[in-house]
Amino acid sequence: MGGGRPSCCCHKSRSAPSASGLCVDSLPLVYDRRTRQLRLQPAVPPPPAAPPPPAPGKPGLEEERDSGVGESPSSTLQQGAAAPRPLRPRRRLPEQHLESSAPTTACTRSGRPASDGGSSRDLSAQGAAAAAADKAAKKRGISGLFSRCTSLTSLTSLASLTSSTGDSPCRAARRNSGLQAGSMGLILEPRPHHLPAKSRAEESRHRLEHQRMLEEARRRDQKDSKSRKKAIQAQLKTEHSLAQSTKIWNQDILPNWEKVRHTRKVSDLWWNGLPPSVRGRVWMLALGNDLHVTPQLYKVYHQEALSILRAAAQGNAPRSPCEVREAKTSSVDLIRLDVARTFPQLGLFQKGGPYHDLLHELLGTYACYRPDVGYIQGMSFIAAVLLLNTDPEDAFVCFANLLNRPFLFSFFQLDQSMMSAYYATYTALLRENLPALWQHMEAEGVTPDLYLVDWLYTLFSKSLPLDVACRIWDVFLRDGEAFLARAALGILHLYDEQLRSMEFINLAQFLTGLPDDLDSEALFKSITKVHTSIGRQTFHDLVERSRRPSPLGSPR
Amino acid sequence: MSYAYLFKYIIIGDTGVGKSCLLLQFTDKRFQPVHDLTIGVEFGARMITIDGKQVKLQIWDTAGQEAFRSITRSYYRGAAGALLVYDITRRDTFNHLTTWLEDARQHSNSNMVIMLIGNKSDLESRRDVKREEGEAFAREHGLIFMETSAKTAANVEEAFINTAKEIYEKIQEGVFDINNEANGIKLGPQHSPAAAGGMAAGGLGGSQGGGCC
Repeated sequence: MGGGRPSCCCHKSRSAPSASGLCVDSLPLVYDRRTRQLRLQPAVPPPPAAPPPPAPGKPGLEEERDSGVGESPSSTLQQGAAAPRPLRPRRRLPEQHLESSAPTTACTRSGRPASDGGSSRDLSAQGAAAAAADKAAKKRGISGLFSRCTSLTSLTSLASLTSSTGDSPCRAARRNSGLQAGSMGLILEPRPHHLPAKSRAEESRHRLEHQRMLEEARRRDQKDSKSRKKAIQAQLKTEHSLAQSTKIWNQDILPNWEKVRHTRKVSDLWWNGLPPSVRGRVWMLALGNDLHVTPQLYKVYHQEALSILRAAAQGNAPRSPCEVREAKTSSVDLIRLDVARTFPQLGLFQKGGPYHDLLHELLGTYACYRPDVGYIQGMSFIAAVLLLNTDPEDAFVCFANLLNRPFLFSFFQLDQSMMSAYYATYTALLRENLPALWQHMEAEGVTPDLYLVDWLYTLFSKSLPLDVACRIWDVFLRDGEAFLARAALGILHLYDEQLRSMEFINLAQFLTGLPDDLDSEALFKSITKVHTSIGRQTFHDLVERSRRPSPLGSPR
Repeated sequence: MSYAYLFKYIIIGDTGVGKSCLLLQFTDKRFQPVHDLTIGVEFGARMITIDGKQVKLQIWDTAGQEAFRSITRSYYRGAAGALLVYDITRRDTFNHLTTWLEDARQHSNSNMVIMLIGNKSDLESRRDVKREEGEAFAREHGLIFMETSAKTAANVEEAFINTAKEIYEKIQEGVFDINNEANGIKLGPQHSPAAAGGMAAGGLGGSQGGGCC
């Protein structure tokens, strides 16, 4: 595009005012033999004042001035622009245009003058970075975790919505007309001296091209703003319903917990996911405190844990012959290793992170409280999720009671017979719900333990995006352990078709590393399509039957 | 992708010695300073060439916590090779090798090739186990030995490939019965029975079923 590109540069390079008053004939044009170009004759001699120091590496500018071309004609053309510009920035602009694929869009978006390409690019880059960060957060499912952040986001987006839509019709029109008028003037500008003169036909062609480019940019801008608006509206809608349900939970449900917890309405609201701001409290209520972990009890074990942790940090871990003591200290060593490896992508639990010490202490306190169980890998993820939703003491109470539930208790005790009973029940349910997939997985040799260990020991928090995992926890605490099997089957249901085309290694890799973009709604839709009973036998009946194999064998 | 042989590997050793990092370096050629904790087992696969033949390595990377051994024991079944890893900066991980080895010998087939790996060789200043000690342990128990660094990738390729070479040699010598999938070796779909030393290899397909059913 030999001729096209420079002309585009000219269009963009000057933010001159409307050219309607200008006429080619009335301009003082002279023909320059050296450049073989028409150029404006200087009306006044070049200013005697020293020009601003030239940018390094731009000697061409000085040359231009020396050749006797004054600045005033171009200054005349620039009248009406915000401020007359020296030559230097104008030379810079075409490069900017070439660098940026759509400067007009960027400028119109940010509502800045077209000549301010550099900073508007910065802005759009910032926007892109923010969007990328947002996307990354969404991917890991942490965007919905902190309700306060969410409402802040909503305020910001609301503000941007009003600023981007409220004044857009008139402003956009003004901006666009300004751009077009400015570029009309630019075409009349002398071209850079090293370029051959344009023919009339070429000139009009370029003008048309330029108009088309502007039109395209405007359309693109409109489309962008539409989708942006739509996304913001969707977010606002979600936040509105979240605010509504938060209100219901706070005003109607929590004060009357025992009375209403089993009602249909509460159950339905619960299924849709607990609002992050009440999640911790509902979990606490749902879990209860059968173990009667009092604040005093917590303090005692917390203090003990702190002293062991401190001793370990100073490198003089007490190695007493007492077996219990031994178990506690070896747990402490392990915990130190694992805390940093808990949700490493969040950067919250690593050394120096805000939750590092809290997680360390919670796990240490539990190891002191239950030295017979100690610390088992997987616990750090469960404790971390609790810490993200409640304060440390409540998190400990929840943690102790959660691990005391029969299913988790047998898993963390590594009770092989119970675990086998769960796997057998799960396999029977897989066969019942997804017979084709069950058959395929059997043929490939993918047994449930290969992926269920990872899923269950962390209650899905390691394998699913965190916000999805929290929703699973919500319903798990409503429905009990049968829901864990249901959630696992739901995941298989969601990817059923995909999984049936995979061979062993792909299946195993897929299931132990589920996609980061797993959608919560889609998963819950899949979960509604699987059930955890066979005939009249409930999940617990099936587990019991698997534990005591009858002559008829395991449940089918 | 077609292959002549498929070998199942298992990576074992104490928690935090760098098992998952070794696997990631071998399969993806990258190092993650803070790696996720492995709970249960994770999987990796890579194709290598030995003696001009394509060999697919199917690698089971296990959880290292002692409490999990009752779970990970079942993963030994059908493994042709094992990487037994310790951390050269933590003596206790070296001291636990004997129990790991007992476990491995007890729950796998007797021909399984075991490679002893002293990982984190880049941390020379924090070294707690001498190279000679690793060598002596390997000699004593008939293992192959290497010091590696998952961080700098030093010896990582070699560790995985040398193990495969040893397995391949055992196949050539007829030590491994490649028809028995419990040995952790499978013939690829295109591998002719003639090339496999006259043993039939029909009906194996491209899928893997060995070791876990």
